[in-house]
Amino acid sequence: MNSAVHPPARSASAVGLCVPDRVSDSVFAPARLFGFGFLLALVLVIAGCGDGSDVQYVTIWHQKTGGERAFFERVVDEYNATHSDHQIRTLYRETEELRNLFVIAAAGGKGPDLVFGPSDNVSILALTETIAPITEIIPDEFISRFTSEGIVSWKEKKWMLADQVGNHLMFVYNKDILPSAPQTLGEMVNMLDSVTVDLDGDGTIDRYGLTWNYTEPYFFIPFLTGFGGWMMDSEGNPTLDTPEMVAAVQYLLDLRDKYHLIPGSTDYDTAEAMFKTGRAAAIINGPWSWSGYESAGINYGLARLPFNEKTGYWLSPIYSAKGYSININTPEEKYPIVRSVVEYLTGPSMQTRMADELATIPVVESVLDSDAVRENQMLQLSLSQVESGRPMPTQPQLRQFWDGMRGPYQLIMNGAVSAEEGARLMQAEVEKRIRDAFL
Amino acid sequence: MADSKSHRATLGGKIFTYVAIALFALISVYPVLRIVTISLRPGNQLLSTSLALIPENATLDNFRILLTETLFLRWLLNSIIVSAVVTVTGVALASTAGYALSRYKFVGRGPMMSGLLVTQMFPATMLLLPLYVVLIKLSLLDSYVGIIIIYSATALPFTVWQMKGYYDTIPASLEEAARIDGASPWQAFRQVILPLAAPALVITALFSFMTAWNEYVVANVVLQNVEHFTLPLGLKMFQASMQTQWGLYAAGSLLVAVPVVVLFLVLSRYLISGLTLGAVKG
Amino acid sequence: MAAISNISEASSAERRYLRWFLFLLLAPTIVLVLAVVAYPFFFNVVLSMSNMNIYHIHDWKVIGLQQYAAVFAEPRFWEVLFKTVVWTLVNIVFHVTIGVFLAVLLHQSFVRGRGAWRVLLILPWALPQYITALTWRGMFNSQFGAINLVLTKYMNMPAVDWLTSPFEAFAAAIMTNIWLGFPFMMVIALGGLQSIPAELYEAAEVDGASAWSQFRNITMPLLRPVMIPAITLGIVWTFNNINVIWLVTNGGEPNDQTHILVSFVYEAAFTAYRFGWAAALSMVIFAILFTFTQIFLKRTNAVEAAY
Repeated sequence: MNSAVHPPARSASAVGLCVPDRVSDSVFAPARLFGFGFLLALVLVIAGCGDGSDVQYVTIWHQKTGGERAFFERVVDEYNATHSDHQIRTLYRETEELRNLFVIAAAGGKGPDLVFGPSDNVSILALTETIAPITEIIPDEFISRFTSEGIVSWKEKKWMLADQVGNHLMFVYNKDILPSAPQTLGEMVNMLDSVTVDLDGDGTIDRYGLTWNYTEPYFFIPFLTGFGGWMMDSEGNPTLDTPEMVAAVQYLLDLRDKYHLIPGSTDYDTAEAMFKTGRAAAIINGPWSWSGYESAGINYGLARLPFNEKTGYWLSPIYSAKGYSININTPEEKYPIVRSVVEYLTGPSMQTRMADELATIPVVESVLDSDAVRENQMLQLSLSQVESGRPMPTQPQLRQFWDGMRGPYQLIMNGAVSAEEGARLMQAEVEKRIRDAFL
Repeated sequence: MADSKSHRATLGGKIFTYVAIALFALISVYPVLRIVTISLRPGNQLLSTSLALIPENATLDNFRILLTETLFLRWLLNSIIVSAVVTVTGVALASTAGYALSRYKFVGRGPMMSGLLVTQMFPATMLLLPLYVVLIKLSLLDSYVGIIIIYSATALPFTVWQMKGYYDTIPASLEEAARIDGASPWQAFRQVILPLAAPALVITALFSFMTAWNEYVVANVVLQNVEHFTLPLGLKMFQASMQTQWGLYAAGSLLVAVPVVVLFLVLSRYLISGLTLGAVKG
Repeated sequence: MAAISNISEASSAERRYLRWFLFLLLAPTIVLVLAVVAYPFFFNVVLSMSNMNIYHIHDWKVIGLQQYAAVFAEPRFWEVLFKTVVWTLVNIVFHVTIGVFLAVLLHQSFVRGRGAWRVLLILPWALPQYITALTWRGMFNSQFGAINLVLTKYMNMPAVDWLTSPFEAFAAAIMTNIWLGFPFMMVIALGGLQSIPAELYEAAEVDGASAWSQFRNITMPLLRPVMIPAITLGIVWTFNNINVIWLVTNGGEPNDQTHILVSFVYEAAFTAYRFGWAAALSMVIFAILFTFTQIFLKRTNAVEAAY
């Protein structure tokens, strides 16, 4: 019975206890007592026991979701079908958990061979000495085919090889309400004003012009850059209490309180629900959300975030590479197969397929220049947004920026503090967190 | 059973009782109905302005996908096995240890009682790192043996206390009588006291089961293969910071509750067969 | 009186037998609990005196009591401690009151469909917290939430910004946790009520005692030995329950004003990787709970037999 219950893919390693068949029979005999032994035997069987074959596994922890996860699982199956000596095994984890669990596992000397995630993890993983430079495994001639965005470096070493750049926020509009997207902020205010209405005449606005997530400062960055500001200087010190920041915050407060074009309060899920139910004409959101609008039946259009004609800056979102890094504990004898897996998952043919099926922005020069990519309209829109975007900073203290900016951003958007006070609070909060991190 | 205080219950008292119970039942059920609604809603939406129980275009797709296109049934089996072992271990150990603490005075009894409590006072997050290191050393990563031991140890402090508290309410004269009739201490415990403690055993079993059934943080660190996942881990795979598959998540949560409800229905028969009944029989 | 055997009073053969008996009753539990808890605890003690953080994750060393000083120097420590105490007390009071109240109502013999009521009432305990807490967050949503829809549509009251104002968000988290927690206390109380002999109530009725005085003089004291462990541990668990408040307020919104102490531990350890500081704060939490339970148990005399 032991083999009958065995899972199809048996784990060769990482199993606590293995019970050969005859031993489990003897465990079986006194098992009537409470059925305890029986259950324990089942546990051991279910946990899977090594069968002594020498198939090697390359494990990958990733945070791909939605259509991208389905695609990823498909191409992994294709790879496994064509390789007999080694197999890829994947495990999904939510972005934050992925990073935390990877740090715990790798610091303990274990963990997956490869970890896939956004580029802002790289410096933390490198600093905690949980990943090895990709140059240890991947040869230079392969790496040299990537664009500069596709290779994530920190402190002069290359730590991550990407299969895309993305996470860029864009202006998404409901074409049935708003026929076209605004080019400039001035235009935006006029256009949104015409679609912000009180439909049933009860004195409250039933449809807003625009909405976005008021709780995560990531969604605030385009406004900061649109007024000429940025989070940090070249050394990574916060530059948040500046006239540019105050102007950006004041602009948001005006949108809300003076022009009444955006709702009084929302979070991510509320903004999504408003846009999907037609209670908002437009939303600022990233590539992960777009397919959801399609399935909700929204006739949506994508546009680059507008230009601020008063300052001469584009509203620039942050974009980041997403890719693979190598666990520092990956044994050297596994390097050849790990290399084969990375080259398969990030190589030109995979990136071509991804661009075609998922509309992700490739980071291999030849793919980026290919006709297929040039003729893909959605991709070209994304590319135009990334061109005016800012790359994700690589400093390890980036987390302290997000955590420190989050609270004051919420206070501002709730109308609890003024623009000046908000800017001052952000600067103070981030400085404190960066200081604390050293103790 | 004979519960005479209610024989005198007035009509007003009865009405009050039913209204109060119904009100709280409604409060208990309403959020669960919202989860039902989310699980039936097409297009993966969490929020809607409709208060209707059955949403527009209701569909059972989420349940179908869950049962056919994911490893849900596999996770269910894993969870049942883990929880069952933890429950059996919990009942066996808590019923005996609780008895010793209730009936015997010995050196270290007080410290042991508070020692059990002490284990619950530490934020679980901080136990992860050292536990992980220990499990690696014992090569118990990705194994149910590891989490079963941890879950049992997590549930025991409460269940031991709970059993001890219940034994305290059972008059010692019952064992004394058994001992005079020639029963050994074990026989007195096993044949006289344990049957009387059925309601407490039910609570111990239910609590041990729930501890293992809903646990997420430890399993998340220990289990590393999606085929070995328990239900909470499996369900969490439908969740992502900005892209949660609400429909699947909700449908899964409803199905997760089913075994618990069944277990409770089965166990609650024993929850009412208490001291009075046992005393009459014994 | 329940502790019937004082080992030193028994004869020597019986003493030996009893020793073995006791050992067999207790040893498995002790071994199991120690195996899981002892090492992590001592590891934490060391960690709390170390400088382990993101910059020293492998080469950390013991630096003394600086992390403890840093914990108490944290400007928000006292405020968050106060919130944690409020969170714990309010939750436990409601859990126990509602739980015992419902158990007593259900225990009356005229109640029909008892099994069905019981199952409906334990539903909040049966579903995984991860989804119920998020559902409650949805219900508190200012535009789409059921609570505001009912308030504005049927009761003609203004909508409440549940999740964006600090007080309301904290209250929302507490309400959610009360909902999640009362079934557990109800089940404990239901079990406890079974051990109360009906004869006691009969005798009280003969004496003409009111329902309230029966509850005060019979139900409460006899329920105590069963409820005290549940309440003690309920307090400890609620004090350290990060899940619910974290999920309902989305990690402390607005502006990190809805934290309790454990969410600080979590943030310090896993978003800032300040393991030394997080360990020191864990030790402080431990000390608070330890002191509290020692006093509480002494005053309720729970270790000793109750009657």
